[in-house]
Amino acid sequence: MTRRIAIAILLTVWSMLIIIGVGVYFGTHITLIADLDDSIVSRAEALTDALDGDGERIVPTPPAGDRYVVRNAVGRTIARPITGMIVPPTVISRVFSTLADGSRVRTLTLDVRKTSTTQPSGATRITYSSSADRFDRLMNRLAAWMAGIGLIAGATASAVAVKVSRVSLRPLLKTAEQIGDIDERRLDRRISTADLPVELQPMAERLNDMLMRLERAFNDRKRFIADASHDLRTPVAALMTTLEVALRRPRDVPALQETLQSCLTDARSLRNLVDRLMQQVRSESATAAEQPQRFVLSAVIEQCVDSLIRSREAATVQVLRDLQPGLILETEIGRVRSIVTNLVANAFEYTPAGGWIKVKCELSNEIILTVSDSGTGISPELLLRVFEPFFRGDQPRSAAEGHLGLGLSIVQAHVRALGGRCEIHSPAGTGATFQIHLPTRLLAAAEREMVAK
Amino acid sequence: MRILVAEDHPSLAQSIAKGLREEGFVVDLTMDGSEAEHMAKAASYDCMVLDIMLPGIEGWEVLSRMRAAENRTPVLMLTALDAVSDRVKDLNLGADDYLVKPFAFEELVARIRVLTRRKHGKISASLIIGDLEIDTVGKTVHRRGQEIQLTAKEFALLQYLAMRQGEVVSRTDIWEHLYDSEDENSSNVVDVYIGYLRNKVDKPFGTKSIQTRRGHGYVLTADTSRGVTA
Repeated sequence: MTRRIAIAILLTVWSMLIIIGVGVYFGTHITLIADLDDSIVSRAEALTDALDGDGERIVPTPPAGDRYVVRNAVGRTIARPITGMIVPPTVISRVFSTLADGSRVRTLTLDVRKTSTTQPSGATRITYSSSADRFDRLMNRLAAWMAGIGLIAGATASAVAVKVSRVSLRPLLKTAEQIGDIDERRLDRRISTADLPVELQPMAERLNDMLMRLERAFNDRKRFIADASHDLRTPVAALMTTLEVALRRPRDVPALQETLQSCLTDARSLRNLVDRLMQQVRSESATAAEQPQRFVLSAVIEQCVDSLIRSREAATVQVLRDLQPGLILETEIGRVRSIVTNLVANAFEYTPAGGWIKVKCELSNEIILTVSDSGTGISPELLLRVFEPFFRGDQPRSAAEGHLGLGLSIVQAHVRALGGRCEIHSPAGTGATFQIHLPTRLLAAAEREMVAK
Repeated sequence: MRILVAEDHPSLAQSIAKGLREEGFVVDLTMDGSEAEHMAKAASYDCMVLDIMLPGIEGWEVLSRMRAAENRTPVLMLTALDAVSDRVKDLNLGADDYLVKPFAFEELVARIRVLTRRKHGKISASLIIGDLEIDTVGKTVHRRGQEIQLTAKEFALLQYLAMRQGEVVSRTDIWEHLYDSEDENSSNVVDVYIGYLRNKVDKPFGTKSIQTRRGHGYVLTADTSRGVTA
């Protein structure tokens, strides 16, 4: 980056120097030649004046280093002057040439005409050479100066470019250092935006936002693992202690059978725990776990509720259903089943005998699934925490009984994966109402069109 | 040694109780925090094994209430939380020791032994009263280099008296520390076992280390009066 910025600055400065240099050089070159040519023309004119006369051949002494030849219209060298009014001469050619003695000269060929009609038509041609020494000297000096100044300017520009790029990149390098210091143990660190240039601040802020999200997710994950291992410890301890105690002395078969039975119970509760943990982990992955499938929502809800009722020993809680028929969804059926089952199971758990549970589904501008109960309700300060993994309303219920506090967090994870949201209402002491809002894009295509109409 | 185990996981609680009983401890079991608090108040335990997460009142709350009521029973906390901060919290609340689940049962027993020993001011696993040597780990008793065979109950009684050597220990005390509700309920049992113990520990050596204090109870002392064995 530093190198690129330096190179960019250098290329800019250098190309500007070269363009300006070339411009100045050729501008000066053209100007000086024009100046030289003008002086040659005026000297040639002076010559024609000098040649003009009464026929005597006057040979004017040219300035040092100048030479000239005068020819008439047919090309013969003449010494005869031209008389009459002279129109401004026409320059036929202008060249630099080198003489035998090595000196460089500027040679102009001029046609000189008279206005007089007595003179045969045609012009008198004057070839006039003048030394280019002064011109060459001036141009060389100019070139030398320009090269010198160019070199100094180039070197200065290079130094400035390197310095500027370093200075302008310093905050970026500092930021890079800060980012480099962040790892999974130091996710609470943030990039300081205080001395960052304005252009870099949005980037730093986005990075900080990302860090915040990562930190939250990482901490959630850490807590999840801690809670999970915590809940695994007790059944593992039970299993180990039962086995260790049993092995401490010889036992008869019935005693051993009793031990094995107890171990089996513990192992089953461990399996349930692991199943629930896996469910939780899977429910959180946003990628579709299965192919979308068409199904009637009310039918799936009926199935889930019925199988939950069957698995409970005594039907002491009344289950009311208010299911809008004919709602056809096309999505992952497993997630929907899990949402319904976990919500209703949760309602069963917190509704005492003699109470009721109401399951409702309807379509308004969203698909709304409502599960309410006449249970113990949730105190306002706990309302926000019920979706946390391992949160149990009544704290130390044993994980052995299968109360892991994962149900609602699984619900939330599935709902999020389907693009919906969860709402809870629990007016003091009157049970709880869970409302799941799912987007209408989960409806089967035909259904969606109906809604659109 | 009477031990209160407060743990709400049914099979863990049962296994600990069973294992400790087989080690010669008398074990009372509860799965509820408030019950644990009441039991700790009602009886004098030599050690308490307390789970942190209990229904009713949580374990650490039971502990802090006990300590607030000046109950000095040694408490070993069972915890599933193994963060240093959690363990420090337990110890600061007055726990004497803690074990992180899952633990080795052997370690639990060893730690309970340390706590009960310390409660009675003993630092070593073997108790020496005069020429009587009791190894509380190996569960052996020697007198003058001679091994004395004792049943589990007799050993527990001797150990308890030895822990409180020189003190008069009442029948009720002995009853409370050595028998649980499953045992036959009669204070006469204590007298019977004292008789058995004397027959094995004193009689063959002509000593009188176990003495009766009428109306008070029994005391174990270092009887150096070498009775002449006839």
